[in-house]
Amino acid sequence: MNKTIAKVISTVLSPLVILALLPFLILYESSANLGTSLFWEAVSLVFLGIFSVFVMTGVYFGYFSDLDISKRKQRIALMSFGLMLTAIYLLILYLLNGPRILFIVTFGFMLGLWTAEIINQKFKLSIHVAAITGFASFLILAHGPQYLAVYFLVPLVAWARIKTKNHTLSQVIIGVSFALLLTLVIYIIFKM
Amino acid sequence: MLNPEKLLKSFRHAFTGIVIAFSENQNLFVHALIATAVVSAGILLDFTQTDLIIVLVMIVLVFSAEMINTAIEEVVNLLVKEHRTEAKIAKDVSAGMVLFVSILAIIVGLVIFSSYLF
Repeated sequence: MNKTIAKVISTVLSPLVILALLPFLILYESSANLGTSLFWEAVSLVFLGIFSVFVMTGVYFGYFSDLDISKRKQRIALMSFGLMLTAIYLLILYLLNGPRILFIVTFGFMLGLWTAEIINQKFKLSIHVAAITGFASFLILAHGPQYLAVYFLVPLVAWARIKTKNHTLSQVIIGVSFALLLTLVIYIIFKM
Repeated sequence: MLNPEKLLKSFRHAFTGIVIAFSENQNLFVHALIATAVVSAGILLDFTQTDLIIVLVMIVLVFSAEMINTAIEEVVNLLVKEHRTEAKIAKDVSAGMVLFVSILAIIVGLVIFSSYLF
């Protein structure tokens, strides 16, 4: 029973779901412009959709072990495709004069992907926990302490990842520390 | 008459091709890293739309050349099992195409970046 709940939490609060919600949440909160928020949410969903189809096709034809791409060796294909899509997304943002806050999020995501991959060569950190920690921290830094409650999701996801035996406690702790540090670095860079 | 089933099937094959290319060819990871770095730098240096589109075209060219190279290598491996000079020529020329396009992309990149940096 507990394992089923953990699996549901792990899926519902996966990095892809967070990335899908993020553009609308941050844009609507900062501009209160429904049209712009919906437009950029749609653009972001197209890219996330392509990425999801890439993963599902890979799993279907046996190139990836599972939807989490648990095997480290297979992640390089995912990283390459993800980075290429991010580059195109950034170009579209720039060419269409996209909102500045989306640039910050995309740069943060890219930097996170690069550094996480470097860390993952030696150690397996929890991307799920890092994503939810980064998401909560970004909301608080950008929009204030009313989003402090989002931090309650961090231990929940951490528990789910340990319960489903995807990660150990130390991998989860490294995931949280990594996300906090990354959000702070991005915040300082863009504040300057 | 448009056959939606056939169209969907060809899209599925094309997407599978992309998955295979990225899974089999680790050079694409290096290209992806460079592409994101170049695009990020272009945005930070406030490139014009035309310059950014030229950068995008060069990125697409390099990725396409790498994918064509993978396809040629696989066909040659399928057809020729033993060491043959013709097979070597086909593979070398195909790898040369990637190098040629990459060098061209670097030159174009240098020309564009130098006008913003100096």
